[in-house]
Amino acid sequence: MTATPDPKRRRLGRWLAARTGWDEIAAALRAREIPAPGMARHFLGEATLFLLAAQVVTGLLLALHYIPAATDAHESVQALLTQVPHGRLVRSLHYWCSHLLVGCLGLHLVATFVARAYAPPRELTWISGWLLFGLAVAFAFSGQLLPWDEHALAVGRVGTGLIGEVPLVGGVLVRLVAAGPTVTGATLARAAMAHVALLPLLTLLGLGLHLWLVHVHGVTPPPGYESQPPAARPRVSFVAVFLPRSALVMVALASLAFALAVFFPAGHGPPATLVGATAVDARPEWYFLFLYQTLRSVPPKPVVTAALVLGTALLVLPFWDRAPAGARRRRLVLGFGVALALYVVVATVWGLVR
Amino acid sequence: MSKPASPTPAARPAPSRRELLLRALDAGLLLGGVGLVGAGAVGVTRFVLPPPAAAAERVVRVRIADLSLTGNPDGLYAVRFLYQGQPAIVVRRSPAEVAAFVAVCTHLHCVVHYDDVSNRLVCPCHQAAFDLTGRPVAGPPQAPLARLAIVKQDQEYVWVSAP
Repeated sequence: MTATPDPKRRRLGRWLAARTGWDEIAAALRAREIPAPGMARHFLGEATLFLLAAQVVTGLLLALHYIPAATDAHESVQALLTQVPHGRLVRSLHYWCSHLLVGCLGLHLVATFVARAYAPPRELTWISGWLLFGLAVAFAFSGQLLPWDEHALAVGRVGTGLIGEVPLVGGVLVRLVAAGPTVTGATLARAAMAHVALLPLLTLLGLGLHLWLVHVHGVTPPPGYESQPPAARPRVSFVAVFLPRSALVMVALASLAFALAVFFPAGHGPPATLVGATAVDARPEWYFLFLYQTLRSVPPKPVVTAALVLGTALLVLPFWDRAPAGARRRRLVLGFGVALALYVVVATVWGLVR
Repeated sequence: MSKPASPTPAARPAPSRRELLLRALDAGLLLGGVGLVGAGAVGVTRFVLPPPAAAAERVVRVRIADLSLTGNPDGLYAVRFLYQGQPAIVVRRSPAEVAAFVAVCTHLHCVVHYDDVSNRLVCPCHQAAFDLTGRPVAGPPQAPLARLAIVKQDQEYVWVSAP
């Protein structure tokens, strides 16, 4: 389909459109419509994407001042906070956007799970989202080590210890992640490399696939939507309605991030010492607290094994909960998901109030 | 298998010498490719996974002359040191006896500390405690702390090694 040239458009616009195929992209975007009921749910994916972009920008800025070596890392962060203009703000924005990103990603997962968005033909969309979720966890884990203060090291030790509890391959995984049997300065170098090079690259690939698949299959329609005749389906324009509203969501998120960064700047503790000079509780960020609380009463091996089983179950969910199997499996999956979500919420709150 | 339409191998024309040579070449290339990828994978794995504690010293000398038995406000009942990259600790159990441990909690790998009030090694993460033989006495840990052997001792130093 060739786009008709717009006589009113300026010469540069025509020149660019003819060389980039922009008109076809614009036409496809303009023709795009999404179901009106339940539209709010789709802001979660959009918000996650926006926060990821914010992480890229603030992360690139931080990388200009951060030195990824155990001897210099802590001091370089200290210098960033005390000497670099707006250093504290940029670091705190990166910190708080990571929290908001994890929150939006978690809600996005819950929303797509409840909407059964993994149903055919969107299995691969779900699987690419699953991969991106795993990458987000790896981002959070590697990023928390980088300030190299004593709390970062303590959390890094616990996390690495948990990786070591993975059945069969735990020891090899620890050597892969920590560059040895335990966390040392070499681990920091690896975490920094993963955080700024490997994980962004993989995320870019995974995100490309995810967004392409969303483009190909569209968003999951609400229940009963497709049984209506096509002309009667309530829907809104993606460009004219959804994008402006999601821009509002982004403005709200950006304001929240700025407020949090200004009023609750990210902390920086005393430098890490491998020998462990002072007693430090390795309490993780709120999104890992439910694990930490669970580990208070359950030994690490079963907890890690259960997490792996649950992760695998989420991965193969599209192939198990399928239409021919009927409503029983769907109820089972939903019930189990609700129970798990309740547990995570209760354990997190329990951890927060302790 | 017994379909009448399927041609038996004998019915196919014998491959020419050129075809045979090309097939042998394909097989050779495939084999070589697999070999190269395999060798590369082994090399990359070795590159990525460092050898376990190769150059680290087996025996570490720790100064204990400052270890006190009389209530010292600075808590000098224990000396911390690094053993092969891991936090380790020497504690004085009696006037004559010291013991050394890897100071890593057997529950979640947090670093344990000597607490002079309870005379125990405590973990700040889930409030676990070990007695001075390394046995877990409170909290989630099931396993005792890893003991390090005292291979030699004088008034000023102990020499510590893996058991």
